[in-house]
Amino acid sequence: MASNAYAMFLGCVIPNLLPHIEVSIRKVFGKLDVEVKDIEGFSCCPEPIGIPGLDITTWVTLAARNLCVAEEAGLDIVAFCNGCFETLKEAKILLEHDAKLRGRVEEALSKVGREYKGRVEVKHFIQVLYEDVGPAKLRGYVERPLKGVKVAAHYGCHLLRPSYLLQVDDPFNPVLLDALVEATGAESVDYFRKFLCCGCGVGNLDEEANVKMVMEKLHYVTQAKADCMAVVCPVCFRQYDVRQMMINKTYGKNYNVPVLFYTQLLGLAMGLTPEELELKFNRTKVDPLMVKLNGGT
Amino acid sequence: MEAYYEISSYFRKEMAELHMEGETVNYCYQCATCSGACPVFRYNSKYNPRKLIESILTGRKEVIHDPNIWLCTVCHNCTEVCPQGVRVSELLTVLRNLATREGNFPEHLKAETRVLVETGLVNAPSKATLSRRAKMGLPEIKTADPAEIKALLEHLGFIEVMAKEGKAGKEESGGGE
Amino acid sequence: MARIGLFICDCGGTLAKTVNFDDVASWAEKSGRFAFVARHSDLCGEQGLRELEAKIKEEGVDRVVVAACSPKVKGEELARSVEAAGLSRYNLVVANIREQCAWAHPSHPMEATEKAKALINAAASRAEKLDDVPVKSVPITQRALVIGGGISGITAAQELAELGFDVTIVERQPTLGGLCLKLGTVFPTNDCSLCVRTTACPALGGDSTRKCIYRSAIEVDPRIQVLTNAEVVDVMGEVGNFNVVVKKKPRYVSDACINCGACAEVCPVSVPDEFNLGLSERKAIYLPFPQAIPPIYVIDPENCKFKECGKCVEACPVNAINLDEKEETLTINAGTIIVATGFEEYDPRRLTEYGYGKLPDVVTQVDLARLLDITGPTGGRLLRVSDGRPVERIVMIQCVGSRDENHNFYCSNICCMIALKHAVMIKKRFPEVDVVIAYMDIRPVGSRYEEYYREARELGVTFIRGKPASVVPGENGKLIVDVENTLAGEYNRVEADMVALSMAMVPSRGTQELARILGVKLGPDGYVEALDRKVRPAETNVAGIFVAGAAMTPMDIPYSITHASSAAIMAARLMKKGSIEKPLLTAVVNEDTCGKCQVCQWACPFNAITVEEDKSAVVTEAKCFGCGLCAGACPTESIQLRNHTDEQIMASIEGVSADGVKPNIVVIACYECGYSAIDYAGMLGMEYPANVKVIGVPCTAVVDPQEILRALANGVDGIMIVGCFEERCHFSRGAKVAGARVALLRAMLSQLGVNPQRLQMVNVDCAEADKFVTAAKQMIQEVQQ
Repeated sequence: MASNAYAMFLGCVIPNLLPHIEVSIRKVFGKLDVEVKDIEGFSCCPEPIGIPGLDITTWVTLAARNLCVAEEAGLDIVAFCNGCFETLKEAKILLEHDAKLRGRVEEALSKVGREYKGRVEVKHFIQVLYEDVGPAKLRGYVERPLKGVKVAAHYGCHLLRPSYLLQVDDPFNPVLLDALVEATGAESVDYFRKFLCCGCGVGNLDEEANVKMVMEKLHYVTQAKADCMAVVCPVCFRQYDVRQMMINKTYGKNYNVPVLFYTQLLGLAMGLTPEELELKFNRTKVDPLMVKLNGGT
Repeated sequence: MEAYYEISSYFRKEMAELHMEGETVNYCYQCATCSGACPVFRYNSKYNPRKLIESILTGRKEVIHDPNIWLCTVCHNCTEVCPQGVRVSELLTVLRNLATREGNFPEHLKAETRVLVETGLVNAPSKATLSRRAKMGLPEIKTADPAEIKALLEHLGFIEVMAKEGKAGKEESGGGE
Repeated sequence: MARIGLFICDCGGTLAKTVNFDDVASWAEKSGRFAFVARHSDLCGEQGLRELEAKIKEEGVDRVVVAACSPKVKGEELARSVEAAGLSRYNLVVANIREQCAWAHPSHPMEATEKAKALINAAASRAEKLDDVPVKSVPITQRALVIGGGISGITAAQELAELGFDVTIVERQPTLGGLCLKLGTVFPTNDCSLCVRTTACPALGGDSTRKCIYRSAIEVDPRIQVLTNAEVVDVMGEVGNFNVVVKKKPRYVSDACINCGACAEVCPVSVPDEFNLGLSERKAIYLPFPQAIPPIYVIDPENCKFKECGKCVEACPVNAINLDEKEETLTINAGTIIVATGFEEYDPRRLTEYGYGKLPDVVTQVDLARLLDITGPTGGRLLRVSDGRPVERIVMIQCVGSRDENHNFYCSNICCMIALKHAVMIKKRFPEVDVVIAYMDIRPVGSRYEEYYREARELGVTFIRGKPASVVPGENGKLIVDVENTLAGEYNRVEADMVALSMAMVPSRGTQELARILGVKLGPDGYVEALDRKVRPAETNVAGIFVAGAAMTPMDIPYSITHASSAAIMAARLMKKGSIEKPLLTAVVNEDTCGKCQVCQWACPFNAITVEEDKSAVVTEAKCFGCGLCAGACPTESIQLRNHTDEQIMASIEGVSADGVKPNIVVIACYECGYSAIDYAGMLGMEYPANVKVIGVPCTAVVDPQEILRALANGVDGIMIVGCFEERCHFSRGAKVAGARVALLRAMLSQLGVNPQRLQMVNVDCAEADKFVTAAKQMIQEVQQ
């Protein structure tokens, strides 16, 4: 679509479970030269873990419906959650290439008066920041460079994979998020298991496996001496932020890795205070990070 | 009970019809890079993507009754590392579709579907959340009309399928993945 | 005006069952086209051939038509007799009235007789239009230029020198030896890799089965010129007469060097030695390898301080060091070129999940060979790279980057053996070390190589069938290899001190650029493609350029030596002729009408045509294969194939059409698989209607659209083009080009309201007679719609 503005697809996790992240998104994007609009009528993307496993056609149909909503508003979509991103982008691509699927989906949509035309582009918010703004320009907005801060960038799964469909970046050697992290003045450190899944997809079906995946990531992030983790998906955020305290208690570990959603990190670099960013709602405390930023150790 | 197992090369053809890249299953040479890269397999060897693909290749249809196929974390690592271009995670998703039609799906997804039908979302806002949002100065977001979502799900036969007894997995209170 | 003599043979009288020879002979005499008509029953026998020769001389004809069996059967004998009679063999035309007439239409004697007349008629028309074929003599330089001084290059060079030719070896490194320098001991003999088949040299120990390279006399062989630190940057000329431009980087040390080492002792600059994984050090002036050839020191210009220091110059007792040495460019004239540039390991950093470069204890098999070699950084002890502790367990991962659509699709052939070799070596030398090999398949394919696999198991090597996806650091400096043990169906978390990656093998860097310079075709795997993968493994698509060793495909040492010898023979065979006597059945350019559009240059698969800016096309006759792809493509019909010009082809077409039989189906078959398949139909007695008449051409791509359209507009009801399978065309891509051309023309005919079935292309293997017969019968039906 030709418009300069994007339809903001927040999904259902950020607004309804992690509203403080939404605060950082709105505040940061409010300062940048990118227009994001609230659109009425989006449903759940729907989530790409359980729903496609139940029925692919249903998954793509509900996703296509969201694409129709954006189309009717004349806007492309920017997603703030990896899951939403994969769902919407993959639906678009499958509909382009699989004529049988498209037939079924269009038939279903016609029953509720929607027509899918396939004109909406789908981007993840870090793509918008990297392509529309760019690391150089982003640096211009930084008022308090995060010098000396080591960040472990976590891309998550649904942003990059499956790469043959999503084509966002090299799945084993990407640069997008690292470049955006470095634009804040921080250092993006390399660490093992950088592309390990956060484990949310396993859910409660195997609590132990789920937790072990989180622990493995935290182990290597700690080993790389990172001061914090930067994530770009609210579900990854919950895994590393919310579960970290539980893991420390249950497994007797001592992980101390503050987890920040990227817009929270960028917000700090742009000069916003932790209060303005509602960082107190992060379960992992960002205090050690703030001490470092204020010149302490 | 038979003392041997009859292989069938036709299950894979059935599977291939259900996804546009389904025919790539033929390329599999059982190297185990997918299971090596699978974070779930590392911690729970009951979920083995390579073995599931093998079942497809030799026609072990009964695998769609195995509840463990739902342990996948859908990270797509398997597809990404496969040296032969087999779309592993897509094929396993199709396998789970077939399983669903036989009533093999996790109970918590039933609850999730209910929430989806009632609210159009998988995570609906609680009163506490709405209050907090207001305090933070966040706007009220109008999401889809749940009736429209319900109509679509009904038309697709989804609600009917989900009404079956979910055999796999543990109970999960509504909301969250 | 040509005088044509006609000989008609009835093959011992047997063909007379079908073809009425009296009728045919009578028709021929009445036609007035022939100076004489001679009948025979055994023309190909000794007596018959003598009579043929005598008659030609007697009658003084200058063209000969023989109506008999297929030219592929007795064509050579007939040609020799024609030559003996004093004519050029290219003045003979054979009309195939046996395999493609009498044998193919036994149930229709009347039609077969008329067809025989038509075929003879066409042969006469062609004979009238034949040109003289000049023969060009191209002298061949008696020197071979070998690019690459590894095991294959050295073998090829020594073979050629033994056969009496001069050889120049151009090697990029400062020493000969190639990849073998790094390997230590090798399979299948578990001995030193720096070994070559010997050439007798009494002073160095006489004749024996093999010798170390450094005492193989290669350096003192008067016929072999060794250029090290040198690279080929350009090649001009053609087979027999290549001019190769070589750039020699300065060594700064002359061959007065006595290899005493005094310079290195005083050199103040020490750098990590990349030859030994950067784990040991060398000076800025160094000997590349203890057994370097030539045994001359070399200066590393990146790190040397040159005139700021100059200590080595002072220290050298023979004044061999010249810090002012400049790069040199030489042009070497050679009759043949052998590409022996070999292969190297695929970059392990491209598979990020194995941690090469991040985890010092993750190494490649070649790295491991260095570690196990006594000339290596640890003197052959197996120690962890990170902290020098002894290795307790080493895990080898097979097929890294091989058989992988994301990296290299092919199997690299030697990695199973390298791993087994190292595994056995380690177990024998360090029995307490645990060796684990994680694999997909174990492929010890060479002669008796299975012994290594057995011995490995005997010595207690553990084999896990499963490909690990990643290597990560564990506790206490160990590495963790996650792998599914598929045979057990379980997850194995394997702790290791060292992980050795069996990397894919890819062509040496620079191969692509070299191929571009030489005009040599690379296969889809990036390796030099053999001219024919079945029967010509050491030749390339460029005349005079051969390929030796792993430059063609990953291979072990025995195969490399065999292959290099083969390349040497190919080169020797060519050079031995002294000169190339080439009959110029080649492309000829009409400079007046040439549009200088370059289409012929693009069309030629053999780089035989150059079209410089604003100049007419120029054909390098020595390189021309005589296929006619250029002629078929030329939009102004300015480039023509001698003796298969448009005019000559049209004459044949008109000739076979003169009998007025309807529908008139003309088959244009390539002389390779096409013509053979049609002959085969006759041999098998497979009948088809007689209104199908065949004309032969070197390659189906010589037929241009104008000819096809002219024929269809002038009495030809159907044209069937019969060629080889596209991927088996004897001229690289002729069949493919012809196929595309036919498809285009069919579309055009369709749009013009003409039945497109009047033009068809059929691709056959030479034995697919049935395919041709079915297609012919079908076409007769289809053109009548």
